[in-house]
Parts: sequence; structure tokens; C-alpha cells
Amino acid sequence: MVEHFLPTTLTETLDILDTNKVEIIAGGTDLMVQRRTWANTLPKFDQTINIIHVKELNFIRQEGSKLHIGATTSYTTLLQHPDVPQLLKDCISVLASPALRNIATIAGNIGNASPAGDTLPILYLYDAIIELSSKHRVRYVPIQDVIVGPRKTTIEYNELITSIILPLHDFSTVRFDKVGGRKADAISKISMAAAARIEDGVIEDIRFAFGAVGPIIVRDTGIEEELLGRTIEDIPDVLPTILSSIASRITPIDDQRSNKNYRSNVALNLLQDFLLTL
Amino acid sequence: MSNITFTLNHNVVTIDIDPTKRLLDVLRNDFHLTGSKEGCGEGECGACAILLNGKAINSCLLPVGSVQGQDVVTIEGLSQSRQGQALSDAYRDEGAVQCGICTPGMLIASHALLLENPHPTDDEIRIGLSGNLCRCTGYNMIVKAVKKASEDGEGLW
Amino acid sequence: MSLSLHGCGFTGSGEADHIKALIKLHKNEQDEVTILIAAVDMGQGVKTTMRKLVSTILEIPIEQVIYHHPDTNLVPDSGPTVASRTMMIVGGLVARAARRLKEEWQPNTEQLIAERYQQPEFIKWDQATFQGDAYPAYSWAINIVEVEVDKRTYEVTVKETWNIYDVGKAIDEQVILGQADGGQLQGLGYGYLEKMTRKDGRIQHKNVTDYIIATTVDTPIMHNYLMDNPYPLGPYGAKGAGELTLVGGASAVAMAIEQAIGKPIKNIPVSPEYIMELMTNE
Repeated sequence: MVEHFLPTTLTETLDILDTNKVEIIAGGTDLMVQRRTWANTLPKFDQTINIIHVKELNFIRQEGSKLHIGATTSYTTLLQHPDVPQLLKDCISVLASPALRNIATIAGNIGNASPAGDTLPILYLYDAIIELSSKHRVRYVPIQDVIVGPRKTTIEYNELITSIILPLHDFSTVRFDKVGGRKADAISKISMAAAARIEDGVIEDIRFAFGAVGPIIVRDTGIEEELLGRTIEDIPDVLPTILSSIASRITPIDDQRSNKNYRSNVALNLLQDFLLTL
Repeated sequence: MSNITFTLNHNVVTIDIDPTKRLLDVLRNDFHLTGSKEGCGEGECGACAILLNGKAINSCLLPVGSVQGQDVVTIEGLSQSRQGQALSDAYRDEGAVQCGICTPGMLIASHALLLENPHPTDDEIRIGLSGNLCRCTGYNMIVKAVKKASEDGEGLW
Repeated sequence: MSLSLHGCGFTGSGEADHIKALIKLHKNEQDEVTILIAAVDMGQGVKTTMRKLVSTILEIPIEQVIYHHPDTNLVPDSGPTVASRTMMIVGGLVARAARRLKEEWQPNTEQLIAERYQQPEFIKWDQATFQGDAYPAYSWAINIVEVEVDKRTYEVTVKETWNIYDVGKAIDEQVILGQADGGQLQGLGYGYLEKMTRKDGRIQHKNVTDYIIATTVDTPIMHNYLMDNPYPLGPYGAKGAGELTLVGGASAVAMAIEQAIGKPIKNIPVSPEYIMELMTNE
């Protein structure tokens, strides 16, 4: 018999996941599009578990130097919370539309694992840790080990993303650039999250991550290390190496939104602009 | 099938229904509230927007199970309120309605915006309505209407 | 900047030979006047403007003028609601009928006035050779568009536009300005946003997510002006407006982008991908 579950507690949720083959719905803003049929006909689901009513998963908590974001926390809630880093807020404010932001979640962005997922470059940049819970254990997995390909994650059949943990950093500059088909309500053709901490003209920390230029988010800490300890004046000299290293790491495609050449060129232009305006 | 109980336009209702059925379909076909429109079915156009606990949500993407125990207001409910009247009057005066298909969603989004921000700037209005597509009006008269409602409707939001 | 025009009414001999529009005005014993025409109000405001026209000519309150959504059981065939013809051609007949009704007005008596389209003498059209006056009148527009192109992403921002429209006479200014806003945004989109391509015979932009139209935040600041240039055979000088406002936007925005990037443009929409190609190839 087909069942759709509507739990209200985490314990209930993990029990159900352990013994039923179900798809997890929170905001539903990706899944409900993917499974749509026609007017007045049910979307194509086998069994589902809708976790939107599990209040324990709706939270934002700062614990020491880490920010914990519950799985069902909406983008709008994040946008209005004082402890959420500016870079993440900058991203959310150009993501989707107000009505979608009112219910969509970062956990959904991760679970959907689209190469164009807008919050993902930020999660990679912050070295986010994803808390995956099942009935019998809790795992903490770095974001880059959760998403392994387009629409492919290592989340196990009985696991649920319960929170996203962001180690907080003091950056002196942050930037999120999204290039979409229009200025709102658009899927990214290419996106870049970048952040740096410059002290007395010296680069103490620098990070950049790209979305929609490959099957997964592109971030190469090896390339970032080339810049650590250098001064701002050094940047023009080392820039060509940085750009060609990034160029070899990105593998954009042609699709209905854009093409490889555009995505490559613009990714490099955005990085260059970030580095030269530090 | 599950029993879903929620507040719909200020009345408590219960319906025995598949919880993955889209709220848009439940409103239009089970409750015969056809004010919310299916402009795209993909969450892009905003014509299906309703208020869930006072926030604008695209009902074409909301499984009805998500409204269990929650407060839903549709355009039919909004139109009965003084705020809805103020918005409708402003839309009428400013020429903000042509074919009308985007209008229910636009009014919901306008109201949701004013609930958060009773005195928005033109830019803030545009951002608040950025998830509602309109092909007829070019948006300018709609933005003027929301501005007018926020000015004339002092104390309503 | 672009200068554009659009013909008003059916092309060539369409009105005279094919449509031969017929309209009626019916007055009941309560002196309420019903406009019997086939024109559909799909949001363009004809239920407002046609009633305004009749109430002004008859000098009666607009509440006394009735216009129901057309029912083909009840209305004569005044032709389809297309071709920028409704106010000029159909409204022209309605105005004539209204002036006749005013002259022949009998209070508290049922009256019915009918008017059928007659091609004006001065319009010369040869259907066999397709030569002559294609339209009785043209409406005109000038659109000036200012854009900004981002040098990193090649994205276009349409910042501000200044536009003037000659539709003869606006029966309702707000209605025409609404058309100006909406038509221009659509025209601009045609010029720089709305890509639709085919691959192996299949449309690649087949849903609302992929076919990109402007949102509120893509809309420029528009300054719209209307100029009077009355056409003697239109009601109060009105010509056609329905299609005009869409025409000029695409070329104006393409030319503005051309000026911004200093490269000749040969295709629309002028997408960022195309701009990049033009700017990076020599």
C-alpha cells in the first residue's frame, strides 16, 4: 500500500526512514517540479515523507565559532537572521524568487545536488560539514564528500540531512556573483562565491568556488594556496597562473541556458575582477 | 489518503486527500476556489501564489500535506479584507490590471510585501514582486498601485 | 533609437471585401444603450474605451452604456479583435451610430441603429497586383533606449527609455500608456532576452523556466509620451494602438547595445553569449 508520511518529530522521521522506501520532501520546490504531471493529477511519487512539520529541524544556532542551520530552515528565515554570514545572505537574495525563498531550504539544494545549485559554492567555500542522521547513527561529512555528481549524493537510503554546519570565518571581503538569464527568478548559468582576509596588504586567507561550470562545484584549495602569504601587489604577476589553473579545472557544458565558451570566459573574468579589486 | 486539517480563509477545514496533491489543485478542484491560477506549474510565474502563515508561497509546488495545521489565505480571502480592498482599489485606479491572469498572484505578493514592509521604496516593491510574471502591463502601473496602496492605506499594514 | 510604424485595420481589401463589419446600438425603454459588437476585451480595455466613446457622444452617464462580453447569438459580426482595428474601424462605426442615435433620440422608446463599414473613397487598393494603400492609416512610434553592458559577464541592463507614440487620439490615456509599458517590455525582451532555439527539430526553450521574459527588476525606467495626430475617419481621430507598442523595442535595444560594444549586430536576441562572441572575435 502506498503511504505518505507526515511526521512531527525527528525520532518518528528516522524510524520511518529506516523501514520504508520514501522520498524526502521539505520545501518541495525542486521535487514538485521534477515529478509534476498535469492539472488535477497527482505528481509522480511512490512513497514520500514530508518533514516540513518537524519543528526540531527548523533552527539557526551559533555554537562557538560554528553556525548550525537546521534542515527545514527556509531561505527567508536565513536572510532575516543576524548570525548568518553576509556572503550567504548575498547569495540567497538573488536566488529564485520571494515565494520560493519562503519555503525552499539549503538541505534541499544539497539533496538535489544540481551543478547549478546556488548555495553550494558558499558551502564549499566555508568547508561546510553536513550532519546526516539515521535511526542508528549520526555522521558528519564534509560537503565535498556528500555531493559526488549531478543529482548524486552519498546520503544513504535511511539518512536525512538534519543540519548544515558552517565554520565561521572573518573575511574582509566577500563576493557572490550570479549570472542568470535575467535579474531575478533565474537558474544560474555560472556562479562564483569568493572571500578573502587581507591584513596589512597580505593575503591571510583566500577562497573561491564556482557553480554551473562542471558536474560538481569547483573549488581547488591548491590554487588558493598559491596566493596565501602574498601581497596585493603580487596579484597581477601571479594572476595568469591562477586563471589558467582554474581554466583547466572547469568543464562547463552547452545547454539551453548557455554554452561552454561563455561559461569558461565569464568564470575567469569574474575571478580576475575579484582578485584585481582586492 | 490522509486527513489534512487547516485554516482556509479563516475557516477550519478538513479534507481526506493524498498529501502529495498540489495545494493549487486542492484549492481549485476540491474547494472550488479558482482565483489562484496555474500559469506555469513550475513555480516560476507566481500566478498560483497564496499566503501560508502570512508568507507568499507558490501553491503549484506545495504538497497539501505541508498545510496540515497551518493558516492558508487565498486571493478569495484577501479580497474580503480591508487590505485586499485597498490593494484592489489602487490597482484599479492605476491601470494595473489588463488581462488579469497575473493579478491574483500579484495581489497576494503585494500584500505579503506590505505585511513585511508597510512603506516600501519602488525598488523594494519590484523585488517583492520579482517572482510574479506579467506579460501585459510591463509592471510599471502595478508598482505604482502598490505604492499608492501603501500610502493611502496608512495603518492597514 | 528606432522609428517604427504599424498599419491600422486589416491589410488591403480585408475590411471592405472580407469583414464588412456590422455594428448595432440598442437603446431600451429605460434609455440604456447596449453596444452590440463582436470585439473581445482580453485586458486591453475595450469595454472601457468603447463605453466612454458612446457615453461622450450621447452625453449620458457611462453607467447607462452597456457592453457585455460578446455572444455570437446576440451580436452582429464586426470582425475579429485583431489588426489594431477595434477602435479605429469598429469604434468608428460605433461613433457614427452614436451620433445618429443622438440626432434621432426618442426618450423612453426602444431604438436600434445599425452601421456597416464603407471603404472611404480615397483608399485605393488593387487586390490583383497588391498595390496601392495597404492601410487607411498608420500609427507611429519613436523609442530611445539606454543600456549598460557588463564587461565581465556581457550582461545587458536596460536602464531607461524615452518613447513617443502617435495613435491619432487616445480615447483613454491610461489604457494606451498601459499598452506602451507592456508592449515595450515585450519588444525589448524580443531584442535582448527571449531566446528560443531549435535542436534536431525540437524547441529547446519550451517552458516558463527556460523561455526568459522580463521580471519587475529587469524593467527600465520608461518615459512615455502620447502625441495627438487625429485621423479624420477615426472616432475623435483615433487610429490603431494594439500592435504598435511592440514594434520598436527590439531594434532600439539592439542598436543601443551595438553602440555600447562598438560591434555590428546581426541577430536578436542580443544575448550575453552573442555579445561575448562579437567582442572576443576579431
